[in-house]
Amino acid sequence: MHKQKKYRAITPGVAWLLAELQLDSPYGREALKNMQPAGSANLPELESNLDELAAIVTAANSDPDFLHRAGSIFKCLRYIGGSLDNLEAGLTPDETELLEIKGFAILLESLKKWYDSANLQLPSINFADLSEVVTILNPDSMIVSSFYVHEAYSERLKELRTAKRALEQQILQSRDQAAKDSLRQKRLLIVEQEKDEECRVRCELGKKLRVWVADLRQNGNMAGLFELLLAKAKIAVVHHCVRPEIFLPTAKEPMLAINMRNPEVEESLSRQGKQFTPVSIELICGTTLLTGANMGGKTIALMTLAMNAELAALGFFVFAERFSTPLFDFIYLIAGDNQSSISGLSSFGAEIIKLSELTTLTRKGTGLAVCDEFARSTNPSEGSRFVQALGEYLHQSGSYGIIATHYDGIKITGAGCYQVIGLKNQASAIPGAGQAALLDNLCANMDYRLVKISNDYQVPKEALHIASILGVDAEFLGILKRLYPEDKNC
Amino acid sequence: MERSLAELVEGCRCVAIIGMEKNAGKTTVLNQLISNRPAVVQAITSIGYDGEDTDQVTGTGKPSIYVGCGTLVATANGLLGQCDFTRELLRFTGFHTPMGEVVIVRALSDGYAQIAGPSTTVQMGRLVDMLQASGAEQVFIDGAAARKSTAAISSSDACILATGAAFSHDIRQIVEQTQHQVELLTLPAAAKNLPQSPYCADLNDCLLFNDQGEIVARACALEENCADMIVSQADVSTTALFKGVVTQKLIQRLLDKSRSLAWLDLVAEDGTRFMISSQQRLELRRRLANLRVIHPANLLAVTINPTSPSGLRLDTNELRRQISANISLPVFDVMASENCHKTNLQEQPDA
Repeated sequence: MHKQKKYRAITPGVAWLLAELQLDSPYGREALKNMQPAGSANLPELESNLDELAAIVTAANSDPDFLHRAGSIFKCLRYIGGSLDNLEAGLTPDETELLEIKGFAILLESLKKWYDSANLQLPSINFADLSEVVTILNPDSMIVSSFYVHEAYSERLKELRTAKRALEQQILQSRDQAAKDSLRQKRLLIVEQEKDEECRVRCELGKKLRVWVADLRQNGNMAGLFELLLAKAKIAVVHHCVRPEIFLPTAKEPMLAINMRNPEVEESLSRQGKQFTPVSIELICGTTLLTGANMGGKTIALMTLAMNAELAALGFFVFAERFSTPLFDFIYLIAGDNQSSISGLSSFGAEIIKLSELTTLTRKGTGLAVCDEFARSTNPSEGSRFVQALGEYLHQSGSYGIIATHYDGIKITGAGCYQVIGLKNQASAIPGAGQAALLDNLCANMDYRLVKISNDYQVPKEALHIASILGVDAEFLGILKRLYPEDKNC
Repeated sequence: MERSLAELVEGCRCVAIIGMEKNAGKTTVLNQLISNRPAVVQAITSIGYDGEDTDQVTGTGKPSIYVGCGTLVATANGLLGQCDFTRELLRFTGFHTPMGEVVIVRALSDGYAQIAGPSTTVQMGRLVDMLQASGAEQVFIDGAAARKSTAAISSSDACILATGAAFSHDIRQIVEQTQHQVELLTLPAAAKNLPQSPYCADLNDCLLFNDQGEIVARACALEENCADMIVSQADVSTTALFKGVVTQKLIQRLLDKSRSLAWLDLVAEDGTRFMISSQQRLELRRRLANLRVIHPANLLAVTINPTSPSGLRLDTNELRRQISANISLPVFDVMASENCHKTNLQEQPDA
């Protein structure tokens, strides 16, 4: 197996999903560890992987048990890399190593048989025939999963064991302690010879097995890749995911996401008896600005978009009705509060460091840059300039950028603009309600969908309305309202 | 006629042999139980690894385990080389010990075995299940010293307590401590109305319940204020449930702070969790406190080994007489029955 750096999810949604993947075999977990997102140079490979996933999803849709048929095999698989390393190094395998290799070969043979019978014919999955390995370790006609240094391997072993058993009978039946002791001594001598002969047999078995090491390793890796594919298919079937449409970024076509969902948020909402509102967006090559009310789901929308783009690059089906995306060289988030007193960074400082990383990446390739309320923690007059500059920079960078912001007056020629539909007009506060009821009321009155707006938009002013729905203190609200122009109907 | 040890364990699916001390004769007992060529498939394993068993150079006559053909043995991978019976490796268990992973093997000849098994309760329970799934009809657990035998007791349906000169050279002391251990192991079961939630409690939790089975207080059993918390319930019928051990220190504080304890039930998972002295147990009884357990052990017999590792040999008959006088369980002298057992074998040429 390749020793690669473990893949670390970029978006929280993907991290959540990878943790949810059910991988029972050490090879499946290794395959997950070695998983890497496809870059723009790997489009044919990615399409081929998606073809394979589609074939499994089709099989699973026509047979609900399909994905679970090989489950018991994966559960029983042990990682035999150590035993194979020893074998390759010319060491004589001990009996547990032989048991391990035999168990592995038997399981892989059943997996191969099941895979062949499923007639999937996936180009990347190719199991070597290990029936010879099973035969070497199972000289009897009946195949059993246990292992012992069988007498069939050596006539001498057979003779020694017959003699040993005869002595053991004599020891059991002997009346005289001295005679018993002498018989025990004789038995010990035979035990030594039996051990030597067993060692010789194991050495011979090691020689026979050595030529199979590459095939054994290959089958382990194949089992891992196959298990990962089955796990990806399970996600696709359970969550009704679709195959992403992927094109090369050189086409500079817009990225299109129709009715995207976020499984992590969806699950958390469903526990509260609520539903996730799917969001749609079209992202041009360049900058798209997203505005909207507080609590309007801007962050979730951004993260859902980034999650799906990341999933597509990792060869997963995506959480949307339709998702058409360039194959990005990178996906980069400037989101969340990365303030760290340990490294001496304020929120703003952390953003600037991330900005430098982003600009370096944009010079190397085409990516997706997702910026959530960039420069929010500095003063608004300078903050809006930072956002304007970031928007302009991304717009001419050749990458796809989306910036969620509350700042007014950001004008980027040619940029796309979206807004969260936001609060319904009739929404009003429920007097005396608890925190959960206030939140429920807000959610019920919020339309989380995104709508395309013109470039000369006004940032919606709904903070006061939302604060009043969330039950802000009446005295505070009175003071606040005095600070708003009189024509504002709150 | 008195029943033999082997007859006593007949019908038990899993028997734990626990010792008052090392060299108490556990292995001799185990050998007697497994060498009878019984009609059922037997299996053996051990709680952890009694490393001193390999120390045969000291000449203290510690016996090795000698298994018969067909016996299932669960032992660490690293000890297989020291087993001299011909064997078939049946399966891995996934339980790791310092000597390697525990594997289940079937003896295809007679021979000496070195055994090391898991030391946690959960793993031992699962290992017993695996042995039974592999065909074992009767499992024996070599259970280490009593205080470490929780895993053995909770996995087995019967147990045997081994005691003897290894524990003390003073017959009076052996009798007193053996009686104490027997009393603890055979403590009666707690009332059934304890709610299920305490089973999720932390390892060292002490939970106090009222008459209605409601939790009234909770503390860490290892902290000083635990006894104070219990005493604060004085005169109101209370059950103190301990998830882990009940220490001498806690009981002493409890005894120091209160007179009558008639209102109190002290409940632990099993008798080995009460790490209290025999004086404390008697004092608790005098003050009418009830000691109870969640899993009562089915103690079948006490075995005695009159020989200490240093070679001293106590008066077997006297030791046996005194122990028998103080506990109401069958008492076996393992060395005598060893001889008796050998004679039996001689009388059965086709055994």
